Amino acid sequence: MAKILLVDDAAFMRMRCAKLLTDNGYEVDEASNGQEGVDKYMAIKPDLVLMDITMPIMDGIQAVEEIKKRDPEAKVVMCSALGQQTMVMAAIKAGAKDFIVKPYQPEKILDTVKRFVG
Amino acid sequence: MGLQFDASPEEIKLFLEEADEHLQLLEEDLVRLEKEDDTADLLQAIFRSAHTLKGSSATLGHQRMAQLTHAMENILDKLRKDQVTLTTGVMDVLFEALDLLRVLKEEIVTLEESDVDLTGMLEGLAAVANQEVVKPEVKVEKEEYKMELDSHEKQVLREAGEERNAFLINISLQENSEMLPVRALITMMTMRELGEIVKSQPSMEDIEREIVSTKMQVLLLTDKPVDFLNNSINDLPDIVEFHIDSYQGGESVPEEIEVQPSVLAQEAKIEEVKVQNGSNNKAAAKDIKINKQNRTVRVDVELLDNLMNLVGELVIDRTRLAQVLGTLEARYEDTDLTEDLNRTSIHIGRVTTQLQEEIMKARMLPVESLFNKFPRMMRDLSQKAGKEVDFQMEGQETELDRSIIEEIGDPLIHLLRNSVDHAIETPEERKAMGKNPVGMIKLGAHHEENHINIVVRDDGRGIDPEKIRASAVKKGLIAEDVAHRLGDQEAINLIFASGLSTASKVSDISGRGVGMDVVRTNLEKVNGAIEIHTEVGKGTEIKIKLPLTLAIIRALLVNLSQRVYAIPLTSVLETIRITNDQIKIINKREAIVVRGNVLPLLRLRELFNTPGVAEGENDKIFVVVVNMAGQQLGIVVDALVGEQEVVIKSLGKFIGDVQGIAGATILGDGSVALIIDVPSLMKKFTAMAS
Amino acid sequence: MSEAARKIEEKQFVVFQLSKETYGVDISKVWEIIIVQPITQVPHTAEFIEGIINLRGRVIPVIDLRKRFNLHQDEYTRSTRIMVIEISGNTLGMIVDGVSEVLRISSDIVEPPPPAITNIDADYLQGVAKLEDRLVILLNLDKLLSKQEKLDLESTMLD
Repeated sequence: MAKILLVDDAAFMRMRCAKLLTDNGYEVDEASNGQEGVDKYMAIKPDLVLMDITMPIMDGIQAVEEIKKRDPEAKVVMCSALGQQTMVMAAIKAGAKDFIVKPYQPEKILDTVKRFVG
Repeated sequence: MGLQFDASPEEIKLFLEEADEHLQLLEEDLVRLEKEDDTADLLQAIFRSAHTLKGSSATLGHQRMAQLTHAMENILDKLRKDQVTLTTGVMDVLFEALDLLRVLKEEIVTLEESDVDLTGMLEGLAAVANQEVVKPEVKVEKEEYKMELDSHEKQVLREAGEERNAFLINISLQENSEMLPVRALITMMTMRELGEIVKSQPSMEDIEREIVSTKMQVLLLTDKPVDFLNNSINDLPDIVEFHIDSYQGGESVPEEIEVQPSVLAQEAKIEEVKVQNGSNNKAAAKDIKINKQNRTVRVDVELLDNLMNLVGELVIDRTRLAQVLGTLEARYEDTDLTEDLNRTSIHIGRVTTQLQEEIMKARMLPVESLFNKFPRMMRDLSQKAGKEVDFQMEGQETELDRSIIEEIGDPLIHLLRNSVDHAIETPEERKAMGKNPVGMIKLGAHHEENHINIVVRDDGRGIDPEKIRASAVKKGLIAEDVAHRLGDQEAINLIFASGLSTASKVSDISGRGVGMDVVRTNLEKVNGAIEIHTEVGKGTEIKIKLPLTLAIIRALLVNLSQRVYAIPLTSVLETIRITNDQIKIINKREAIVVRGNVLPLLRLRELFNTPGVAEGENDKIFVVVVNMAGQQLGIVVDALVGEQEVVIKSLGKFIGDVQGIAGATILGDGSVALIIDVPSLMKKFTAMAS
Repeated sequence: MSEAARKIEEKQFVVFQLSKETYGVDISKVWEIIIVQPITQVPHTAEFIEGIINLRGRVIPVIDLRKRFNLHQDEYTRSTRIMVIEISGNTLGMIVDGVSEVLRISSDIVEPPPPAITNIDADYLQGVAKLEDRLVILLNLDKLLSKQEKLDLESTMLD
């Protein structure tokens, strides 16, 4: 069962995403900011990270950098709003593999996740 | 019109909780934004709150809320990039938008659409931001493109070596692909992983500057076989079609593809990522305070109430246990069994006390949760009243039982409104008096022994006891000669009498000029007390005393005709033992003189009509001196029993409210004692006196 | 009034003595029956409110129906009990002269109460059960704690 780490400071968003993923057979863990995301990543080594960009303490871009530093093979997909193009670019350059635009269609998330973890 | 959202009740509850938190943060931060100079971090935090609300509301499906937050986010984005100047006009618009946001959020609670003018607000916001809705436009120009290599690139090809081959890869990205430049970047990065990019159209620099089109062309040097390349590119999303062709030599392109470069119709959005990261780090210190989510658990208040009740039961049983133990020990003397029981009983006592304290702590909330809406309110109030006010708060971290916090909200608002409306003079008046045109209103909270003090202090015009006397006489509350005999402090305390108002006109903010009687009643409901100290021309200080918790209080147990009554210790000033001959008749009532002051007496027996034997001439009489709103009264009882913690139990709906009785409690021996309600006792006494 | 096709129901009633008459109360409303214990008086309440007692940690009001309805009052005897009843979430105790039994009473032997059978207002009477050897007056306690009752009480309350 593939493990997915959700990093987003809005519990509401996490809840929605987590439900979608667990309903489709994935194991889900959560973190509420970039720093927690990095820590959790190292602790549970998920197969994929869905990372929000705008978060307090450490934002998504920095978190991607930190995770990639520790695990160059890490697979991170950014979740962002439409107006954050430049930040997504930065995240991709930092090592994120793909992005999903919020509010997202459930199929989009599932397709993307499937692509990375099967 | 009914609203529906695609979310479970649980999800909606969570959404609302988070929305409330963010709305509160937004308000606090907007108020600070107006005052402070160093706004970079604030703007960042404010932007983040709006951004999160936008995402969540869009996900929930509340389109209008998403639109509004999106518009706010635009302004905030421009503000933090210094593209728009922060003026009072901008602040006002933001505050208005915030209010509208609250209304929209309420729609989720009531599931009914409100009739707010969203279009007007959006237009207003757009006007401030001076922009139209931003949408990346990909203008497609038909231009042919031929990949031409310069000498350097040709050189690279020549030095390719045996293992690597050159391929010209043409990729068509989906036209309505979201964030096309990013999609292009991802595609390009994938190419990079496959080999060396000799040349590409668009170039990496173009992509980073977000100048892309749906067509991409890459000249790739790689040792990977074609089907590997095929599969890799096939896996990429948003690709309509692609071709991989071997690139022969360095001269011609095997397949010519029409490539249409295009330019995005956007203002330059070149942002330095470094700056982004830098400012995020600075924001971190403040954010740690905001992000309380990590180590807390949301608990239903009802659960806490139930726990509190259970603890109350334990407290009673603990006392009972000690008593039974006492009886056993007396009957059977000290044996191993009683020893054991004793030890266990003591341990239970200790654990119960700890449990009690922990639950009390869990029920405690910092008053901040109540105070945090005041800065905004004071801002609005002072503006409307045409006064200039410097509102300061301190002691927000002081904790109170949450049910008490609920009860004192309205009284505090009333007091603060009064300060702005009546206490603080207009700037002109103040200048004329030689005062700082900006008035000061301070709200403070601090812990003192076993209660909390909340103070509202201002440097306004103070309360004139003469005016109060005059008003009281005019309203027929007291006779003129009585009014004259009242000392200044007593006159000021008349403010708490109902029916008194010194405001000459009704202000729309506070309603009736003064509602201090309501304030006091509300406070008494939670066993609180209120005091006013004032000096004409200098200012006023209102002090509120509140117990730490409602359900369990320390009480003084007294005896009256073999019945035990409990008097809340917070009201008790002292206890005095006198003899019958010390009682004098002053103003037709029994009273004694204590340290030069007249203390009126109330015989509890009289009040409760309990039968009993009158005391002899030289019998000792016990007087419990209680204090309420500056007034003192001596309650005559038969004997003092002791001090004890008691659990307040209501008399129940059937009996309802009884004047003078706050409730009942069960003592250690199982008997029921009535708890005396000092405020209503005082009221009854004053009624009886006149 | 009785209709032709009235369903015959059987309900259980707790039967007790009050002022030399026999009464019955729906068993589902009776919480427990306890021996009379010291009652703490509460000042400034209606006369028939005896006071409050401690029922295993709960404070419960106790009333004396005899006082409320001006019935003849006997001294407390060894049979006197406090019947703890619960109606619409409210718990209170009633002083009764004695509790005798629990009876199954079917609706076909219950008739509307004739006037003057007891001092108790017709409002509180559900009917009269005609048993072989005696009459059991069935009480409707819901009314006892209704809003109207409270309003009536308040107007009669001494200050």
